[in-house]
Formats: sequence, C-alpha cells, structure tokens
Amino acid sequence: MRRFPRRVRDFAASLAGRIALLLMLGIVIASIASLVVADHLRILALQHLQLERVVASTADIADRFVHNPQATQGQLDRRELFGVRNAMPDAVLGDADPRLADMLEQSLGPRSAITVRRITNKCFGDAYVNRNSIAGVKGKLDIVCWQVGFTDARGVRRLVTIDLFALEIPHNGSLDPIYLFLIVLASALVSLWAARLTTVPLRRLTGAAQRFSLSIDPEAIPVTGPGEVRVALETFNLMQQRVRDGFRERTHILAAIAHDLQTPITRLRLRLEHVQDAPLRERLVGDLAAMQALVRDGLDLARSSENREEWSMVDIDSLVTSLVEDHIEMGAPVSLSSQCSVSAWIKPDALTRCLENLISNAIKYGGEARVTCARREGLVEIAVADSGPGIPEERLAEMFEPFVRGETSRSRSTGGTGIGLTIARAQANSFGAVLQLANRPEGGVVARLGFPIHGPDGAA
Amino acid sequence: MTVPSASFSPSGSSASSSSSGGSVLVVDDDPDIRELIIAQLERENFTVRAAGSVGETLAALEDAPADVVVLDLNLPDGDGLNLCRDLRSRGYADAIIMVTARDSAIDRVLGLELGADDYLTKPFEPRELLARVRNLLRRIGGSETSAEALARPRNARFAQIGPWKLDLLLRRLVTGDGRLVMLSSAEYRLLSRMIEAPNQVLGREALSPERKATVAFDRSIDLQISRLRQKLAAEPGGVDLIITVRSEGYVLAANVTYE
Repeated sequence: MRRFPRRVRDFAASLAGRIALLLMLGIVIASIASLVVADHLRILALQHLQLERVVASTADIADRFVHNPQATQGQLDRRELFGVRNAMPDAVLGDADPRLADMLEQSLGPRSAITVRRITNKCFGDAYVNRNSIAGVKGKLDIVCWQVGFTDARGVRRLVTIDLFALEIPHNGSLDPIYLFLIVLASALVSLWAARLTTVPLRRLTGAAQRFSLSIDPEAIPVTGPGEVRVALETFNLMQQRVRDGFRERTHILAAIAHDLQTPITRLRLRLEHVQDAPLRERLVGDLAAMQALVRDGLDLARSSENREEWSMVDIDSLVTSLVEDHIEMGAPVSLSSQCSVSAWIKPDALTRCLENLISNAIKYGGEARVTCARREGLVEIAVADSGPGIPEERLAEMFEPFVRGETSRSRSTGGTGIGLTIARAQANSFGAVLQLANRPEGGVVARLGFPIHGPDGAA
Repeated sequence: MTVPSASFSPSGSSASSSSSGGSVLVVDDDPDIRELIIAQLERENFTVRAAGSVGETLAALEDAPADVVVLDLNLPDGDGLNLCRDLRSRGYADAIIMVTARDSAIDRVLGLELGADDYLTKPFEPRELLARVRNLLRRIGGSETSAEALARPRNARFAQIGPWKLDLLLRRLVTGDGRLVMLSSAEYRLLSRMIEAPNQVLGREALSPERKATVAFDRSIDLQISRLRQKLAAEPGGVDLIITVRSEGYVLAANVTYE
C-alpha cells in the first residue's frame, strides 16, 4: 500500500495522467458552473413571475379605481378584495425596487408616478387565520407585501398594499453531493478513456521503437488508427525500412568482400603445403589462419544483424551443458555449476554462437570459463565468469565495440580478432537477449546474458 | 542448366582402382585450386581427375565413374546444387562432397538435402579434405555390406527414436511438440552410431572407434551415455531407450525410422 502514493505521482506525471486530470477538472468545473447558472436563472425567473403578479394586481386595482372609484374604495375599506388592501399604516418600508417600478410604469403608463417599496415587517399575518380553509397549505404560510403608490388615469393619487403568498423557491437538488459525485465519476471515466485513446498510438510507437532498438529486423507496425497516428506510424515504418536497407547494403558489401577473399585464401593455404621450410610454413599457416578468422568473424558480424534463424522452444540446460561438455572434451578449462531447468523461446544457433564467443573470450583473456544458469524474475540469466585480471570499470562499456580489447595492444598471443564480444552481443540481440559485462568483486570479469522465459505467443 | 540424358551406374568399380586409395573427381572452376587439390590428393595415392564445369563433370562421369566427387558450388555453366540433385535423380550413387565459399546454414541444409554426403567450407585445411574423402570412401565401401546403413536414406533429415526425432543435419533432438534439446558432439556421435545398429549390443569400442580402449576412456563413454540417457528420459516414453548390457556395452532399444 505504501507504493500507492508513488503510483498516483507517476500517473500524474504521465501524459495519460495529465490529460485525464485536465479533462476531468475541466468537465467538473464546467458542469458545476452550468448547474449554478441554471439554478440562478430559475430563481430569477420565479422572482420575475412574482413581480409580474404584483404588476397584475396593481393594474387590476388601478383599473377598478378608474371605472368605479367609490365602490372600489368601499371594497378596500371593507377588505373585500383579495391581494390588495388599503396602505398599511404601521408599515416599515424597505428599499425601492427600480425593476418592479419599471415594470409597473410599463403597465400603468408613464404618467402614473410609481412608488413601490417592499414592506419588511409582518403584514396581514392574521388575515388568513383560518388557513386550514385554504387547500394545499400546510404549516407556515408567509405573506409578502409591497406598498405601491400611483396616480390613476383620473389623476387621483392612490396608495395600496399588494400582498402575495411568499414564493417558496424549491430546493435545488442538482447540487446534492450525490449528483456532484456522479458528475465527478462520469467525468473521471470519460477522461481516463479519452487519455487512453490518445496515448495508445504513442505506446504502440514506443513499443515498435523498443523492438527496433533490440533488433534491426522487426516487423513493420500495422498502420491503423486516426489520421495523425497513421502518418506517424507510416513515417516510423519508412525510417525502419531505410535503416534496414542501409544495413543490408553494408552487409552485402562485407559479405561480398569476405566471399571473394575466400578463394585466394584457399589457394594460398593449398600452396603453403609446398613450402619446404617447416618452421616458416607453420608461421605462414598461422598468419593465414588469423586472416581467415578475421574474414569469417567479419562476415559473421555483418550477417548477425539480419539473423534469419527460426525461433524455437529450446531446453536451455541441454544447450548450455552440451556447449560446456564440448569444451571440456577438447580439454578447455570450462565448468558448469548450476542449471536452470527451463525451456525458452529463442534462436538456438544465435544463443550457441553467443555463448561460444563468451566462453572462448573467458578462456583467452581470463584463463577459465565458469558457466552458471539461473532463473530470475521471469528471466533466464546465463553467466560466464573468468578469473582474469578484469577490465577497468570505465572501459567495460566499450568492450562491445569492434576491435577493442582488454589489453592496450592487439595482442597476438591471445589470438582473438577483437570482435568476439561484438558478435556475441549482436547474436544476443537477435533474439531479444541483453548482454552485460561486469567486474566480479572476487576478481575477473563476468558476462551476463538475460532473456525472457516466454512461449511463442508471448505468454510466460 | 541442361543435363545430357545419361545414366550412371553405381561405380562399385573401386576394385579396379584398388591399387590406389580410390578414384576422386575434383570439380572446381578455379584452375589453380583444382590443380592444388589434385596435387594434394595424388600425393595420398588417390586416382584423381578434374573438371571445370557442369559439362565437363557429366562427361567425365560418363567416361568413368568416380568413388568421390569433390564438387564446388560455383561453376561457370551452372550451379553445383542443381548438378548434385540431377546426378542423384539420375541414379548416381557414389559419394559427393560439396565444397563452397558460401558459409551459411541454408546452403548446408540444401546441399545435404539435395543429396550431398558431406559439406566443406572454403578455405579448408588440406588435411581436412583428405580426412573427409577417406571417411566417405570408408562409409560408402561399408554400406555395400551393412544392411542397417542402407535403411538410412541418403537425404533423410530426421531419425525417429521412440518419442524423439534426431535431427541428423543440425545434430539435435526434437520432441513431438517441436521443443529442441541440444546434444554435445560426443552425445551426437554416440546416438548416431547407435541408430545405425538399433537393438544390437554395441561395445564401447564400437561406439567410439576413433578412441583407444582404456579405463579412462570407458569411464568417459559411460558418463556420456548416462548424460544422453538423462536427456532422452525427459520425454514420456524416453526412459530406457538405452539399455546397459553388463560387461558388454549398450543397446538402443527402439526401432529407428527415417523421414
């Protein structure tokens, strides 16, 4: 569980995470803002409705005053009218309401000299004592009143109190925590999905680049997805093709040179049989053999980048023990101390060539080869250790470069061509294995070759 | 490439050249190499002829058979691979060693599948060529008397032993579901000797004729047999494929079929 905060941090630092968080934040803010605005508009509309009713009541009473002033005044005095009374004598008046005044003026005409103010103290609360007689009213019943003064069409100044049931604005349910939670949840889901959608092609491209970095000869990526992605994938495939073509051309040149060298070397080798001076002949044969090894290794190196060997499920122990036993039979100082009892999906000849080079290097430069095989977190790790002088730490990485040796000079005594490790790494890369060199604390160098244990379908 | 219709009888005529080490036809487009190889072989008392092209080869073989043909793959008027296949399809039964500068597994597989008996890569040690020629002469000479060797077709790629297939070309074991189990050179030597004589008791000298019988050697054979046995036992039905016959040797207790 302690890793959880780190995972959140990693997620927030990723492109997908950022897109998702940004989208989610945007969606939540926008939806809450629109809910608040909608609520505000609803309240405004209801208030407007109430004001319109004030206007309607005022217009009605003004109309009555114009048509029948005495009767209307009589009705008011006797409280026979509903919603309109004579001005309340003990009224406490609030601020003027210019909006309502405007509305009233529009209704009663410009010469009506409207004054309108909300009454802030209790008004006519006792007027509806018998509230049980009003259908649909239960509990508290509030009355709100306005004091409206106007001049009617006959030019008489009137002052009345308009009373209305207080408008009970229903509670706004859309800002409930449960709705807010649903909004956040939905936006999170949409955001994650959108982020995934945008990063899937990126991940495909990353995967392809990774495979390309391991092997020069991977499959082209299928060009699918949205337009921009297709263009990117096409470009990537084109680059891959170009690099491969360049490599192939180089390989062909090298292969052609090596091939054509083989005929004169063969002739030379056969002619050497006629050299009478035996020590001279031996030395010449030795020189020729060194030349031949260089040609062969160069050709191997050139070809290793386009290894066409088929993948197979291989019993790793049988491969390692066979190699070690072959060396022991030839009298080489090679030992095997642990096995890993596993089969892996690899290219068997490439692994064999790689290990052969590692073992012969260990013998040549380190006096002996101790081979171990172990399983580590889904990987097979084959290690070849020697007990030689080791390699300065800062020079370990360059040992994989062609024609770089542990010693400063190209020692003839060790008899290597100087590309054994280069070939070993190229062979390893051809089936997705990683080769690393390290100095052992107890002295000598260890070459570690790691590759995944998985079947042909990629499953473990 | 056109091949004149001609039939080749199995030479069997090694008796006629019994005074020498055997008859060899060297086919190579490079005259220098041709002459150098001829000089090399003649020094070892082989009767040697030479050909520089497909046409010359066919003519030379029609003229007189050869026990071994040393065949270069690059010829001016055709491909050695095609020539090899044509010779076989016309019933030429004597040994062919392919020699080529191409060094790739594909050529090796193809060459052996098309009917070559052995394969040598240029540049080669002169002694290596001599050893291969001698080896082949012995194998061919022996096959006329050995019934088991005849059971093994020339271009067989696999030998079926119990649940295992032995890849005769890439020298490794294959399980029924295609998993590969590698063999050391010694293990392959032992197994390939045993499949030539299944269900027969083979002494340690018969299993490894190139070595002298000593106590140390016996022990190393026993060790190799026990490792081989362990590898074979890894598949169901692979246990007890090799049986020890006390103080006599070992038996491969299985029938061997080729494909």
